Amino acid sequence: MEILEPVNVWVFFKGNLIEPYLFFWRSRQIKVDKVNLIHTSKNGACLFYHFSVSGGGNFYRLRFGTGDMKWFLEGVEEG
Amino acid sequence: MRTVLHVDFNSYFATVEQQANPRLRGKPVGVTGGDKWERTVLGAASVEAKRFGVKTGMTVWEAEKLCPDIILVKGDSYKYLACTTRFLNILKDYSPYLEVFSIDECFLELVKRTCPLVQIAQEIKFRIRAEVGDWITCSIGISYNKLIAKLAGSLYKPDGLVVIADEEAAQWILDRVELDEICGIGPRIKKRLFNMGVKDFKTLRMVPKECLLASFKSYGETLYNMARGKDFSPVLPFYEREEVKSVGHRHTINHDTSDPEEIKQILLKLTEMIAARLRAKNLVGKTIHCWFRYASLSPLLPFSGNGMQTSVQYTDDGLEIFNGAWKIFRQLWYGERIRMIGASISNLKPLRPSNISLLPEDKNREVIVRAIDCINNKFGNFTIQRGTLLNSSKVYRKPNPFLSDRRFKL
Repeated sequence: MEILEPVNVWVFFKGNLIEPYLFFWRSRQIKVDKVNLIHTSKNGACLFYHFSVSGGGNFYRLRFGTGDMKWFLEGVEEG
Repeated sequence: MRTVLHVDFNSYFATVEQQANPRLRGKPVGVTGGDKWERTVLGAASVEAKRFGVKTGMTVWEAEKLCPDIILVKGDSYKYLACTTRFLNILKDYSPYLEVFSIDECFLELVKRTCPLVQIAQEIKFRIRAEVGDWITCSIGISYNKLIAKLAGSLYKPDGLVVIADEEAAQWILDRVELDEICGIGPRIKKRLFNMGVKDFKTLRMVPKECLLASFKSYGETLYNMARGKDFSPVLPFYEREEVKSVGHRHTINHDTSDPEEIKQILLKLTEMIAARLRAKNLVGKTIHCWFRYASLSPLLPFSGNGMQTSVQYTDDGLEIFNGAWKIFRQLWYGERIRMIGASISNLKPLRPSNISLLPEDKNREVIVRAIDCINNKFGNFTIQRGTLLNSSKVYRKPNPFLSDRRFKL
């Protein structure tokens, strides 16, 4: 399911990478078990980092925008 | 003797999607061209979908008929480019002679061998799994030239590793494969060879060179060499590839249309995107090409369309390119419904040196266009656009998944 909802994310800084550890969505706390893929996209000068992650057997895609420094949840597959 | 490795990723787009989303792993997956699922074709099928007979290029309808449980995923070229950049960075560690053949395929010529070839290939596979993704697999073919390395890479999929050591081994394998299994022999050449009575490489080797030259002109020599497992083409490092020869865009509309206003808007949007890219590269072009596809997709006339080209003064202006393209379109189009339209400009040269116009309107136009480019580069395409485009359908510029203009940025 494609969505675009703001989320709060706790991240680890590992070397020159950031890795989501936990995020809060719809009053739930979701722990990231594994980051499967990181890719970037651009809109104008704004760079977006997309994190395809797994947590509790579900799939989520988080987006971090370098322009506004905000996190969004843009894809969910649960159940 | 040369040592060439051909690295080919298996069901690339689908595998990357499975890498990103583990819930797709082990399931038949088809990657589509976007959100227009009812009219798109599959850009890739996963290994599991291929077992049902699903192939790249099939319509969604055909794929669902063969495999009702197929999971359709919207393609994301940014994702595939990110993985390609990662694996190319791995391969660069082994040799500077790295040719990017397509987004999921490359040739690597080893100049210095530090350990056995098979060990190098296994190390590459291991690093790809560790650094790109644990679900991503590739087939590696190793041989003494590009042609045979590519053949070796295609013999065992997925996750294969095949070595063809010399010409003798190459000819043994060539005698056991179809003519069109070799890169460079397509359906047309195969048909022409069939008409000559050549049905396999064994027979092709018996045809005198003069005969092939008479039938295929200079390509006859290539065919003569192919049959003997010979290929003298060098591995072209990606940083030495020629600059772009043309800049173009095309758009498949999410419905069939015969509305001239709508077509005009889409074409103007495409030409504005082409012009912005020309200006970013400091190029101007003079040959404009416009083409389109009719709505009907009959099995007898699949993807039929029409196209033509015209020449104008060297330009990097979207409206001028549009005028040329629209003129072509009007000459070829008789009001039929269309599903796709595209435009491109070729015959490119650098913007400078050029004659500077003394007309104030030209100078004003240049200032305005540069200002619009600055704004759009910062805030995204079409942040500032012509008023006529305000209610137009959305046309996005997506990175070309076949790396047409990205070779130099890796």
